[in-house]
Amino acid sequence: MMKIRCCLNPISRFQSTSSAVSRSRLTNDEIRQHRLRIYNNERQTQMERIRRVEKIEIDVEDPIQSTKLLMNKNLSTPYHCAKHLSSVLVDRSCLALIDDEIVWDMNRPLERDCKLKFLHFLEEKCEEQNRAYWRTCSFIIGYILETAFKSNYNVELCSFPPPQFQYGSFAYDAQLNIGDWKPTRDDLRCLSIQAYKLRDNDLRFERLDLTQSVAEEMFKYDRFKLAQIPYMLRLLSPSDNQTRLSVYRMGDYHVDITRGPLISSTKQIGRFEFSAIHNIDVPSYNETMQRIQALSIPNQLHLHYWTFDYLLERAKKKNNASIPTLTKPKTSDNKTDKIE
Amino acid sequence: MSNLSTKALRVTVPHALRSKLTVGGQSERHEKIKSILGELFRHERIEGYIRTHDETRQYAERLIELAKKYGDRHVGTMQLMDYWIADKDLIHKVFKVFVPRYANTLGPYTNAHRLPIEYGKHEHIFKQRQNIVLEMKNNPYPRIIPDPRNYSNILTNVLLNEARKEYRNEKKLSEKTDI
Repeated sequence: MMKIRCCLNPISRFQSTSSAVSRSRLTNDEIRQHRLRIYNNERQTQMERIRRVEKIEIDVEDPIQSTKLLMNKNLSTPYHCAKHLSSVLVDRSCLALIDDEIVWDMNRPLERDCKLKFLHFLEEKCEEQNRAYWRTCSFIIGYILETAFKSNYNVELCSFPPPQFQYGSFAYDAQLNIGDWKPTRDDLRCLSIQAYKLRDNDLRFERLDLTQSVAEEMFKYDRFKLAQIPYMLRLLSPSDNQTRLSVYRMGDYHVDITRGPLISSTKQIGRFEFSAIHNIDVPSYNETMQRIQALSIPNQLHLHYWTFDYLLERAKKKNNASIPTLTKPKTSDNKTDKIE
Repeated sequence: MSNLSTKALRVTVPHALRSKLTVGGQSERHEKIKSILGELFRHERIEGYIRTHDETRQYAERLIELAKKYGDRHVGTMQLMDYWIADKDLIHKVFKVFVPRYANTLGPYTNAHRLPIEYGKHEHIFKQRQNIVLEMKNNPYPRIIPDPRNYSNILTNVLLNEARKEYRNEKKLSEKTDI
């Protein structure tokens, strides 16, 4: 009870009985600020590389209105295109579809002339949107874990498995360093409230592609992430000469490694409830970590609270999605099987 | 006939829904129906007063049935067409467009949808006049009632499907262990 700040008033100090492995003298907050600082610097350098503002022609195909827009290369995002069209598109679009095949983030700059379509959660084919949504929610669990606990507890984030709906929940694997803490219903509720606070703040998700050296500098204090970096580097475009790592930043709160597209902003989260914390054995890192599971529905979809609670009961069971493993990429598109 | 009597009927039987057109006699009635038929075949979607248009619906269906069954060489069919359809190019349309369109379908070839009742539109302000939209099926215009959307891939339905599958599997397993 006493470990989660912000919601509860601690009456007395709780002493952790088992030994928590403290990896450094820095608190979670300071490490997070370090990551954000490196992100901002890298972003600054990448923006300065754009010498001239070039124009590209975007052909927006919407069932209601189709227009051609003239936008800035490497600066304008599909979010800006939507703002030119209507506020409905701005609010409900979570992903963009380029040339009917590539799924693109709403806040990622466009690079060439293309056809654009906006995707939302109530379509005929929304597998990509659903996966992006749960990927975003896993990302958010990471942020909440880093910030929800008091500063004398050091949480080390590891990674999150790709979103799979058959397990009924999405998860984040982390080393909580808390010992035998079993969360009560109120603890889980407190954690969920943090997610609702994020939704009220309407934070955007921005992507950045880093080279290996910058990535290692950014995650210098996260031992799990450092170990993952060599496996996560990929060649992002054929013209690129270096393998890069894709990193996403939520508002200016949190930075994390993830491959796939995330949704447009935290305003699109509907219900978000933490369901359970289970212990998992991770042989790759030779540790026992915790898997923190949660369930969430986007804002655009409506679900009765009874049905949501029914799904939440199911989400409490241990999620058997892939455990973090450090394997060399098998497939040709350099996909590792632990993070998405 | 047997032991049935109306006293024992527990089903409400509605009154006749609407009366036929009787103003002006039979020939007037035929003229009205002919003009509405012409409009329907030409424009394939028309709006109008429910009493006149619902009645011409029967005539439209019958003409198309005859055209399908007998073709345009049959004398009787052609005479009927000649009488009921004023614009002769519409007779061509019936045989060349409607018969192939409805060659494989049974049943009504027209749809009628009720429109909202708007007061104050006619000379008698407080009289209500029920209008309908009469359309030929599979016409080239966009559908009045849109096709039902497929929501089986939205996140809530995906999750519920998975939960349902799991519940069924567990039930099967528990039944097996019971047996």
